[in-house]
Amino acid sequence: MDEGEFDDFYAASFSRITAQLYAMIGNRDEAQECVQEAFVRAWAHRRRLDSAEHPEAWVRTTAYRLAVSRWRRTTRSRRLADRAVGPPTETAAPSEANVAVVAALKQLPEAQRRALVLHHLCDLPVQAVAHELGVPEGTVKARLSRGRAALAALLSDDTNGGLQEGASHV
Amino acid sequence: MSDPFDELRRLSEQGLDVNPIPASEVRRRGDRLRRRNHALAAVAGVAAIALIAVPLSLVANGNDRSAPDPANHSSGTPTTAIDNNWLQAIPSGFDLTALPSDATFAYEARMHTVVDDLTFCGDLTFSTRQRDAAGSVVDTAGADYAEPGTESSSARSLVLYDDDAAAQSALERIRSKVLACPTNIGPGDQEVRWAPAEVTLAADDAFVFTEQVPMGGGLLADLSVIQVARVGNALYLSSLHTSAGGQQVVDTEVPRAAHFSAPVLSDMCVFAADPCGTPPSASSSEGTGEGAVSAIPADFPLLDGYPSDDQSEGGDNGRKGPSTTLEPLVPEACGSSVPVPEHVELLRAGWKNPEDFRERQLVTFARTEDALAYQDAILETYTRCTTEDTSDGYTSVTTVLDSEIGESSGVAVTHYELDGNPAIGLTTVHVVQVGRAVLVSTIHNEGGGGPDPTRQAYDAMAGSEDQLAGVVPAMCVFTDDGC
Repeated sequence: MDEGEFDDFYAASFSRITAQLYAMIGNRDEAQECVQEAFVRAWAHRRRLDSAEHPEAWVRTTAYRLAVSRWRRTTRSRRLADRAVGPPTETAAPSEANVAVVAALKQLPEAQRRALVLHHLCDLPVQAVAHELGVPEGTVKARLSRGRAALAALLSDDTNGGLQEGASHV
Repeated sequence: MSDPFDELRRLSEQGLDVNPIPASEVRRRGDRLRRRNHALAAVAGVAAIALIAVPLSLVANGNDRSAPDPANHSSGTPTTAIDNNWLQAIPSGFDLTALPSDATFAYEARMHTVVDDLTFCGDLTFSTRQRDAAGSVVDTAGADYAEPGTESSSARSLVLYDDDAAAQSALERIRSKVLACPTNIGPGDQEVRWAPAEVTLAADDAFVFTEQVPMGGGLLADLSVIQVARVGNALYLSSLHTSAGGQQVVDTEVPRAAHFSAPVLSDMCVFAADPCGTPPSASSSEGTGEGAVSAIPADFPLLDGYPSDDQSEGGDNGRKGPSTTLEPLVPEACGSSVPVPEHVELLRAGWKNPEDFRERQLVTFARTEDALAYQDAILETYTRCTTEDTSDGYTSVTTVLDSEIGESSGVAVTHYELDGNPAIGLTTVHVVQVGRAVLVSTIHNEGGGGPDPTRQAYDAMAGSEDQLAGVVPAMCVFTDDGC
């Protein structure tokens, strides 16, 4: 992947991957920073990126792992020191509907949330989701089924606090 | 409310309102990240070249006589190489007091031999004070140590002969006399017993024997372990004495003496027919390790590739080491373990964070074949143990792969299964040999759980190789050719 190809790839996929990661982790700024860092690593390891079947999936997975790693450190309040890319950016808030869905997603178990996002947001078939998550297809189908049911219940239950910021995270 | 998945899809299609940094800046940071990884390796390589380059000029089978004058501790013997290129003087930088880093005592250098005048059954078998029947002694050096308040003591001599044949002849005479004279009545009618001992020393040839004194009632005391080892035209003699005796003490002291002598025997490669570089004046025991092919340089980058401490969650998390005192790694599988064998030096380091455990161990040996044997033993242990039931109901499944870093390397990647299904947890054990050194690097984290264990193992190996990118190149210092 030469400079031009990388720049095109970056421009075409940055926003999309950030949205996908946001849905997975529920924190927009965090999502953007992790995706930014994932692209830095993608360029640093571009030969590996060349051999990846789906470069976008490589960046998404790397960004997700960075987010998980950061979240673990954040829980012990050492957050600012590890910002690899830069300070938090000021971005416009997503729509109310998106916030509601993402907030509901945050209350699902992490495995269900990732499966839902990859299948419904990234539009990946079950087989590709299974490949990216490293689990059998049957497991993905079960997670999707349970996740859809749980998400529907959360979004229809306005009185249950289902849309509140959940305690669960990645 | 509309279908939540429509909202999700819209989010994906429209993306978020984001402010990414320019692509050129991403590439610049990526290049910097890449350079950082390579720069550390390059710095280590340059340092190693500096260490090796000067000593090479000292090697006498070249014709460069610009070496430091060895006369400052020689016995006035010739300082030039004779026709067959055997070194004719002990280089001034040769450190006969060298000890492994875990030794708790120190030798004091002497101008001349300390272990001398070995007499068996009335025959003066070895002496540098008289014309040795084996051939002329061209240089000598000594070192000794005595533990205050005890009878424990040790002494070393290094004797340089005209050539390797003369040195070998001296060794053979000692060996044959000891074997022919297992007991003798010494001064004061005191019986003395000699016996050969089973131990391997890293040398062209070596003979180790014990000397003990019967105390009556079948008891033995006053044990001396005496090592005689030849490398090229140099003969090394070491005596380690303790007031105790008996087989149990022999079994302890013989390998202990071998361990203490390993750094010097390693450095004696300068006297070999195909010599290595001469070590500079720094002592291996001082931890500098400069130039000594089996000594670990003080600045060896064993922590390279680990996150920094401020990336840990604090407490007892973060980096540890490099240290010579951390518990050695002992790889284990299916009930078989591979303890660290006889070696010259050992350095440990590690990194710990929740669900992220990494350990490294660098072990150096006197000989490359010892390093290869250690590496083989570890990988063979994992190769023989492809599956193992764990105490908590899981099954560990191990794949051993060939790696392409170092002179030779292999990786054992272990994932876990529960009731036949992939489970969380991945352990990677990377074993890398370069010259006389072996690096063992272990990583255990929450990886694993993938449906394709083979691909997972290759990914784990690639990740481990990335982390070791700044460590393995620095191991070139342990090769005879240097970096």
